[in-house]
Amino acid sequence: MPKVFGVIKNITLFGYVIRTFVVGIIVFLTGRYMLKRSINQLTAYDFILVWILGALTVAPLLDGEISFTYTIVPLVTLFFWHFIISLISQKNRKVSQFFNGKPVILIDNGKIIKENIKKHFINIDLLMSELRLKNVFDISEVKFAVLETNGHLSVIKKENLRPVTPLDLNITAKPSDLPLVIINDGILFEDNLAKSGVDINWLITNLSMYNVSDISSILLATIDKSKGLYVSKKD
Amino acid sequence: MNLYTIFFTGERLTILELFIRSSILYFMLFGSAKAMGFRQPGILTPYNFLMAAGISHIAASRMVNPKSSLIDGMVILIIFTLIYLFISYLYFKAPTFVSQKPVILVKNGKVIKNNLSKSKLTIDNLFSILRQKDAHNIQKVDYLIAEATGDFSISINSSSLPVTKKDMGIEPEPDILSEILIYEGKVDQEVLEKNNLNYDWIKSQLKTINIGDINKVFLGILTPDKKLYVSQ
Repeated sequence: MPKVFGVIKNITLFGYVIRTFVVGIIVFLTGRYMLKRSINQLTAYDFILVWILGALTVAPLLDGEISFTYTIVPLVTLFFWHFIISLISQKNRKVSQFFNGKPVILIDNGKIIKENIKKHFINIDLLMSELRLKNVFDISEVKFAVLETNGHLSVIKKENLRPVTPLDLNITAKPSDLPLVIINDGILFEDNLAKSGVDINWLITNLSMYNVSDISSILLATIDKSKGLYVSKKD
Repeated sequence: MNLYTIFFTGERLTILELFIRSSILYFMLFGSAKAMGFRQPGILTPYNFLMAAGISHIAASRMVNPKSSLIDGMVILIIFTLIYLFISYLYFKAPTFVSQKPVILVKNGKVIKNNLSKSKLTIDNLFSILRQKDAHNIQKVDYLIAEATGDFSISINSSSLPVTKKDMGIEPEPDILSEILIYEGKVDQEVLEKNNLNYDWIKSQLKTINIGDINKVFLGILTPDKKLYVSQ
């Protein structure tokens, strides 16, 4: 049995192979339990943490002398501090703003706030390019622009440049609802059927309109509040 | 515990020594992330990306390897941050020198071939980008620009865009930026002053929904139409 764990001067190839499997599992567990937010929701600090976690977990593969203790202890330490800070941030808004940063207003009521732009090293080119990414090609259309803590820019256009909504025209719009899935890959969800206030007989009668007699030949079927069916067959 | 091994080099580190080392580096990195501002993830230029990768790798190697010195790592971190700040400053002062220029890929429905090959994109890439940007009809595209940040911005012919209130001659009420005004019973003075409001206004707003005591308010949001939305 080759040496795998502990400090090893001359590690064999087979030792590395086993270490790689172990590291793979550690990476999976770290990603699964430590990173709760998706990557583009991360604030700058979280982002750096992701990089360190990556570098830390693979360290035993760089050198035989770096044992798993040297990886796991720092991992646990980072987790410990991150956990403490998240805990305090949940309780106290001031602390949260210190650690996660505060949103910064870059354009207030159509006026560029030079101070804030300078403070966050955003030059006019960058601001224009970020606005373009938000479909605003003319800066005079912007009422508010806010630099969020995760680095994204939120843009609110001037009132009269926003799309017309049913409210403007005094139209009553159809209320939006979330259709429920009732058949997924041939399997019937009876719970959702009951929630929509229909039963299996109703479903089979209505399915015959789509020339389907067998539930198992349906890939996906959904139902909305007004009992409208959407059916997609397998073939 | 041996202070010398923690801060300089040693053969081995105990668990406690590792913990102290990692904690120091954690807070140092936090400090440098704070100093660099929070631009990296969203407005992510290749340079920022490399910088973040590099700085965290330096820290990580100091956490795992007892033979590399912590003090060296700390100094490197500080200098790294300073370089970053200097280049960010250049970004602001001399943008033409450091930043890449945006490249126009499509203009008035026509593909500009030269720029496409300069940006190392194929026609298939271009159509994939257009689809992702909800513009499957290239004829309706006024401009498609490859931004320096690596993302793409698109301007669709305004006659193919949703009708705006201006087009319909609707004169909407001006609105304000919605912000958190009250949190756990505490009023944010800054937001209050910025919108020319005072405590009397809050009280009268709370009265309309039968709340006498401001401490009972968990969350009070100033809505765009200058009303108070309250959650208890």
